[in-house]
Amino acid sequence: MSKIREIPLSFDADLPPATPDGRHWVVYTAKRDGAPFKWAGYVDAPDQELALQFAREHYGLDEACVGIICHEHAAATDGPYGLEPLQPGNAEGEDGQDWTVFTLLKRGGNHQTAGTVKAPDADTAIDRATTRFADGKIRSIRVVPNSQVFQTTESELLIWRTHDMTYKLAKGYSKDVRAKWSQFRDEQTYEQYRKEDIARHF
Amino acid sequence: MTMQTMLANPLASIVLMHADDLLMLGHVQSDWTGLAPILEEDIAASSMAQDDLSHALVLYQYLAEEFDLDPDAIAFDRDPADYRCCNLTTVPDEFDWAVSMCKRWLLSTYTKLGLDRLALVDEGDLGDRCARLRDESAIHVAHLGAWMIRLGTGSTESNERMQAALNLLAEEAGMMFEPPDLGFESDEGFCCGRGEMFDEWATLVGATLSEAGLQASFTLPDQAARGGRRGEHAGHFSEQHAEMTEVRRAEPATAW
Amino acid sequence: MSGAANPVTPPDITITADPEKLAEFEQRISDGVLIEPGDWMPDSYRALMLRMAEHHANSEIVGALPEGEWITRAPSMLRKLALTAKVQDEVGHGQMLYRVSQELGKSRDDMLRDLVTGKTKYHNCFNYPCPTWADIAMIQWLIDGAAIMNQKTLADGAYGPYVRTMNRINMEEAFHFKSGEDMVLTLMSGTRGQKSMAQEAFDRWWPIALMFFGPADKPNAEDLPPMKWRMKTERNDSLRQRFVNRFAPAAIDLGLIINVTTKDEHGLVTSATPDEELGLNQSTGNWSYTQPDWDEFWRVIRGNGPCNTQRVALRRLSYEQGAWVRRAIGEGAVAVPPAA
Repeated sequence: MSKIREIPLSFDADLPPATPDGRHWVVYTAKRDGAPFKWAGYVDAPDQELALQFAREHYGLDEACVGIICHEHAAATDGPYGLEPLQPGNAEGEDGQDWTVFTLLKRGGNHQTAGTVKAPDADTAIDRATTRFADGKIRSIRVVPNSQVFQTTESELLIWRTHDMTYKLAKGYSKDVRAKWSQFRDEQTYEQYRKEDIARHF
Repeated sequence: MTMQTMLANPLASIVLMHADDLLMLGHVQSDWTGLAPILEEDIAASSMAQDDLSHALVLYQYLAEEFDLDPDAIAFDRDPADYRCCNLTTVPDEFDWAVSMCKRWLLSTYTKLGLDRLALVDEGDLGDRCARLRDESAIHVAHLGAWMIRLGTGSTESNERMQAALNLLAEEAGMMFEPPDLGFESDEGFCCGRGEMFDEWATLVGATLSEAGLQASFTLPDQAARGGRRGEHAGHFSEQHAEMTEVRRAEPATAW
Repeated sequence: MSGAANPVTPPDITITADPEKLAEFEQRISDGVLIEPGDWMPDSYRALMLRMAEHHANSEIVGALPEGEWITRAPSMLRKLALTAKVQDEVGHGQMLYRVSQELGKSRDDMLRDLVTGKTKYHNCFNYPCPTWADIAMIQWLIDGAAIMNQKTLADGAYGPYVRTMNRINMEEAFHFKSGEDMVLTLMSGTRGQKSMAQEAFDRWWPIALMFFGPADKPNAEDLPPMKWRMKTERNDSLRQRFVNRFAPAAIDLGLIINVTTKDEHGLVTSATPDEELGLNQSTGNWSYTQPDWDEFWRVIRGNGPCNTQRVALRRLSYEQGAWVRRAIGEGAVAVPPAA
């Protein structure tokens, strides 16, 4: 292991001055072309360029991914989180700027992109988005001005790598694990054990 | 076939020198996982270390197929003098993020150019493999280049740290272009155009450095200068190699 | 890995909230409705959730350290890649959980400073040493296995942001566990040297895995905030029993011996004798087992474990050494004009 992990360390009494947190960004990824962008996580970053870089190298590599968008947490306005599914309203209109609309299917679930609306302000955007996207299933709506949503572009570099990445996925081990268990357990016992994994743990 | 056959093969030695650079770059950088200055960049740098290791593996797998060897045996079981990585890739960073960053950026820029050239080689699927790796290598160059500029221009403090790191590494950098010792001195073309590649590399690197407010001068060493590519490694390499193979050697010739 | 905000410190926070709102809040929770950040919640709920998420985040980033020691020595390209990715996942989980904590009102920088100065804690299991490669296998099999069981129940909790983060995290834990299982299987199918290395590591980690879930809850745990407010959804003892039921027979089938051990101050085993309590009770379907040394548990949690000082020191070094990078990209950085 590196020397730094081995040498005894001692410190001055005081920590260096605090370094305040960066801006907070919310990250969404799309698994394939045309699929909605679904909430993936967060990054702290001083600006959108680094936010997207960080998002690519983390959430873009958790699972197959063709696109990433992010917006600053502060740029989003969330409508109320309903106890019951939202019902469509009747607010309509075509004035104002473009807003990206995210919907939430259930509390504790993940927001995903649904489309866009035009509106002069966030509250109106939520009302108009409710008319368009509330279908008696979703629990909440989030709107972000399009100008505040940043996306990895087509011309940019690839995200998910082309070399074999199964080393970081459970499925990359399934075959070997099954083959190795066969020396220790009969097929039926192993199968029962494996099914319990899937049912109760994974 | 044997390891020796592979080592004596001119094209294999070019593939191997890139693979060994990437292995050692990934080896040293993966050790930072969990310890980098910012959590987000910790994750990003670790992703790139995994790419470097994966790229090394893709190249070892090519050689393994060509020479009927085990990729892990190529990666781990050679004598230290048979590794062709350059000195720059193994320079210890002493837990200095500036050194880590500059080293990775200098090397990734070089590797990308090397892969550009190998992508054109018509030899089995080597060209295809290298074309794919090259596209991923470009991700690293872009990410690291953006950081060079941020840290070069971020603050007086960060500029000084980055400059100090470059000063430490600049001399070693030229030795990336050392040809493996297989008679390439007379065959510029096969060694992927040493002089031309150096000029292209120096231009790319120079443009980013000037944007970053950093300075470094690089020279192409004489063909005769011997270093890592011909197996003459600095002392720290044998320590790194010993550490890398410690577990493997404990129970040789078995699966881990 | 890790996860486990267990043991959740018993709440010493007096509930002072509008009784009507509190009743509505508690009704929602018992109805299985998840709490989202915009909803009303009692201050003590917010404080407890913060403490839990922060502890969990700390555990992830300290949890990266013991296994990180072995990345440079991993014995094959696959293992080297997998271990790097695994340790990286822990950092990623920490990063996400710090964000959940930030939303509850504390800055990441404050959390990191509190961690490296010992004001806040992380999971006890990371205060133990990892002296061989087989320890990596056992950590990923036993401790990540335990973490999955625990985090599955945390994903049934009531706080929306924590639940969605936990679901995301659990997706990656499956890889950690499978990779660990593959390593254990490889060692136990290997040479005599590999088998005895695995047995020794198993002796070190079995009792730590049993402690992982925390000590037994109070008899009235269901009426106290952590469970009443669905911050945790299953008793520690019940999780531990499920763990033993799953892992004891698997270990035995693999040829591992489940021992009762004593350890020295370095966390190394000084004696190991087969657990005489061990056995399957056919009527309940539960395995009986010897409890781990709970005195040791409390000793380690109070800061006197084999590696407490070392773990915190390395995190502090990382925090201090990286400050210049954070300053350089932070606001108010002094820009240097490009050289001519």
